[in-house]
Amino acid sequence: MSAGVDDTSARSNGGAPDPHAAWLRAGQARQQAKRADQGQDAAASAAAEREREYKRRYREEHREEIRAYRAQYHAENRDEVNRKNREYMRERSRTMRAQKERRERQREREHARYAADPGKRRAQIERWREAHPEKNAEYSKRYYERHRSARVKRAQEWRDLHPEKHAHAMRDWQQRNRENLSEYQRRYRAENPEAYQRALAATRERQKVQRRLKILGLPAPKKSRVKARDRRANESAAQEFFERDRAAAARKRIMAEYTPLDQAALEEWRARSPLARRRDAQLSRFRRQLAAGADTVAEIREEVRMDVIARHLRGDGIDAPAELRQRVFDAAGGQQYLAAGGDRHTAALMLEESLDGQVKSVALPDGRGLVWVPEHTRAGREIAGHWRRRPGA
Amino acid sequence: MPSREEVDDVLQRVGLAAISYYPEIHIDEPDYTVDTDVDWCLEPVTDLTDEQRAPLREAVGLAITNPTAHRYALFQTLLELAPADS
Repeated sequence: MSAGVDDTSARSNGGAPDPHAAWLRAGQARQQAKRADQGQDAAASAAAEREREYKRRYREEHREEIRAYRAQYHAENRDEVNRKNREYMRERSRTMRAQKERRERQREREHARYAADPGKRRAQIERWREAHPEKNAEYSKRYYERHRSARVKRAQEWRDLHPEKHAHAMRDWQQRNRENLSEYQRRYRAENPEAYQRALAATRERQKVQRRLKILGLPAPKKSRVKARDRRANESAAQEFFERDRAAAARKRIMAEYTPLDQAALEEWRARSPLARRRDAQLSRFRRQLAAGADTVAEIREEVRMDVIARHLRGDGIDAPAELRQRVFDAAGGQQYLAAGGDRHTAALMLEESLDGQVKSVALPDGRGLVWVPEHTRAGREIAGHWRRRPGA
Repeated sequence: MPSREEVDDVLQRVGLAAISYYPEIHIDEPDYTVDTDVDWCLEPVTDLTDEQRAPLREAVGLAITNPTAHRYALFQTLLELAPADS
């Protein structure tokens, strides 16, 4: 607000005009006037407080009356009320517009000042950082936490792109910290006891298998290690391939082209091979659970629908059909099936079979051609939030 | 000489056995051998001489235990047996 600035006083004391001095003097004058007023204000403010309290109580006790009176007044003076309302809204929007323009101008001024001498602003920021090291650290930390996942992802991408640079850096780090490495490991194990226990259990299990194989006279299992970077690349390629969004027609065609083995051959295999029996037991357990969960699919679909809307309002997308499939799969104990070594493509086929024709009906409100109408009241009726076709789309 | 349908059938059976197979089955079921599954996989092809059958058996066994490494070899072996026009 420039109301308190007296520009003449800024120039009157000779030398270069200093707007800051004018602001300062204006502020001091205001404070003085306030202090002078405060003596007589004490009594007045107590009286005002009492009056406010009385009015508040009155409004509370006569709420219905006031409402009825107001409704009657509105009914009798509809034009007058409407006119006043229009004027108020017009005035308000003008104020808002003026404020916005003022902010815009200020931003432009700031930007021009920065563009004229970026070094000055940078030096100012640098000074502030030196003066407030703990605030600076706090803000940096907050920024990192906000952008943590993106940062981690970028670092991983860099490592995948420059494997030998990364390996070199790792070796360097280990060389530099070689006295502390065992200390770091001890500390990690103390801080993550369950991860340590998992590692120990995995080792025990592996040794047990190796001992059994040796007793049976079988060769040790041959394992080829895949680098994490290759595994990530493979996984993402596989995911892209298997989880690409197929049209419903394409899914149907694939299912139609698939001719299963005849049941007699399968039965024979089960009778003969213990491997087949084990797998069949696993698979039929999963199939039973899928069938048992078939009547909760509608429920899950409703949950997914609500989540899709909520996530959309929050600004991030979610693939509704994929989400529905995942939840039905989890509800049928699919994770246990996979953990027991079950084949995931078989599981996907069975899931598809059990959801046949049910997946497409999840609405995909992605905002293309649709607009979200928030909850509102119209002609006295409360209308829930809903999607509607964008006008003209 | 196996027909096209027989070859398809064999491939499908090998695929099923391969996705079912896991190495620890030898511990879970001590009397299990891959031969059982190989026999079942080769059931559809009947008119083979013993010289033709031996490499095929080996290829099927390898393909069941490690499909990533050996499925291509199995496919080649089957192609050599299959009639030239299909």
